[in-house]
Amino acid sequence: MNVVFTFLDWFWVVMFLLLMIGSGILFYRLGKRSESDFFLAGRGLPWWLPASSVYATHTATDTPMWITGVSYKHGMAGIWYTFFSAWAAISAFVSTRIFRRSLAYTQAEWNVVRFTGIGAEMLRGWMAGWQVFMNMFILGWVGIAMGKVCEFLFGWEPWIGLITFSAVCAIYVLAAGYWGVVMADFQQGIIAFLIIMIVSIWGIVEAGGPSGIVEKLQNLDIQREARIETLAAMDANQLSSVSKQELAFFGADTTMTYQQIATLEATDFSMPRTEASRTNPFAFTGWATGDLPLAWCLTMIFIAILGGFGMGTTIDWYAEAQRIQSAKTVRDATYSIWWGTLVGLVRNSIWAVAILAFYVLNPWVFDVGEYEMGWFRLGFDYLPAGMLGFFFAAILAIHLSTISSHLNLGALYATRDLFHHYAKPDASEKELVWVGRISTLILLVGSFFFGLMMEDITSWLIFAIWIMAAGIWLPNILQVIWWRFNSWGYLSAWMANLAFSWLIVWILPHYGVLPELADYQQFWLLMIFGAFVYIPVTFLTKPEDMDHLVKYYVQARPVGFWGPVRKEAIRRGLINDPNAAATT
Amino acid sequence: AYGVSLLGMFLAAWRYKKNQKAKE
Repeated sequence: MNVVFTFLDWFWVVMFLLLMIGSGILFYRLGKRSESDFFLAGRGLPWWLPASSVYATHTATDTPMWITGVSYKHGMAGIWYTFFSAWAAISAFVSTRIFRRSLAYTQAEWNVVRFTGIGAEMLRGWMAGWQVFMNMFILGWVGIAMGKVCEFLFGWEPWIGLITFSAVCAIYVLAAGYWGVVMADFQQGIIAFLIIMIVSIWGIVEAGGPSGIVEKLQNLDIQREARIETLAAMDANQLSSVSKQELAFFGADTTMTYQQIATLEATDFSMPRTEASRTNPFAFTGWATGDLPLAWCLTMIFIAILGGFGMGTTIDWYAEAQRIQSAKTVRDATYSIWWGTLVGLVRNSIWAVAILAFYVLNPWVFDVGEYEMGWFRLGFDYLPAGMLGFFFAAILAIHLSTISSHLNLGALYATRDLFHHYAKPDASEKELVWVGRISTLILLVGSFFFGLMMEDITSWLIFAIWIMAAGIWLPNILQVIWWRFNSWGYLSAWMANLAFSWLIVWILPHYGVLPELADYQQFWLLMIFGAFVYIPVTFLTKPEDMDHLVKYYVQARPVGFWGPVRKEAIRRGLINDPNAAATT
Repeated sequence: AYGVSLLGMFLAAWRYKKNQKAKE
């Protein structure tokens, strides 16, 4: 599609960009005061500011693409893919509070609050380096998604959208640091949420409202039977002009040749579910079969709910940790994570209905690259002229809020952990703010490299990172809830997981030792294999120093299995009444 | 990815050793 903007459209876009950059410059004086201001806004924010930042940061330009992808493919049941963020509903009352009380700037720093000695320091250095890379990679991945949206809309080369908007964003992140990020996120979050509602409801109305959507789906079921009759009547020659994706959609076994498919009767086409069932959020395809098995969904819910007891159980945690620490009290931190995530989940469910509307308006698109742009097409196909610029400004808001957060977050790890703690412990506040700015620039340039050079392996890297998260998922929980888990256990879990993930995903299937497994099955295997390494390592090495553990316990008040440490804290008179300590 | 992470880990170990020596 080629979108043509009128003067009014460009007026909206330019005004919006000025508002964005202006808000950054406005907070320049606050951001440059100290390291704590440049990265945590002085830990003084009321809950609704970090909450809007949680929401805005985790809505990027690729978010409507992948949510549209799963909703178009699976119907309403597709929104289970977004349920992983429910970890925050638990975390808000558990690990969020523990982390805020620890006063660590970053998850890397938290390692030296919870653990002690050289093991803890190595963990901190490892995690800080890892997060500098991760944020650079996320910036490249999100940036190239914006490049593709601009290519789709205006026909620009992908690098134009990537470089232009990341660079514009860097202006206010460089000027005001986290103050600029969180203030811009607040207005970007509101603009993005409003326009998502407007476009989604507009699309639903275009499709005839909810009853119109249901009626159109029932009609599609009738049309589908007719299409299957046609396909079954075709000979191999005619079939070869039909794409494999279409044949798979109508339930033909696509491992067969065209000659074999030509012999099928209409009754041999096994449809996984009816079109009308797209309105059913529980339309699973069986216990462990089909493309939306119940076993996968249960794994997802298990990961989400138990993950809320840990720190770092999802990639999102590292960004949330900065928001948690910027809230002015423990209660504000709880509210910010809970509300920010709730808004995101509500938004997803409205999106899913809008995608159903898109589906009945444009049914049977078989190419994922085409249908995942569905939500953008709803806006640009149906909104009146003059509103298009407003819609594009909202897309920019969605984009800039994600870019700004990760620029500042990567710089935080580079400045606070690598530079301040290891390279130059006696650095002045002014120096630290400048190191923050320089590392922001390095991240920006690095993201261009990852966006442009790594584009063809992005999906591969996302998978590699996901699988790396699987093996340390349980240790990430154990470090919070189990006093005996020590830095060597945690470090060995990271190292073992690097080896096992390569083995289980690529090497063993290649040699036929393991079958090709679904991703949720790999998750369970990696979890079990890792435990065979870090549990023995933990028991073969000493527990952390008791003085250090007592100090951590009294300050952070962790939940779970902390009996011996708690007893020692009571013995030392640091906690007076055992019952009062249990009801914090 | 691994290079930056390992660099961070070695930097941490170096600083820890240096601090230990300064204490002695």
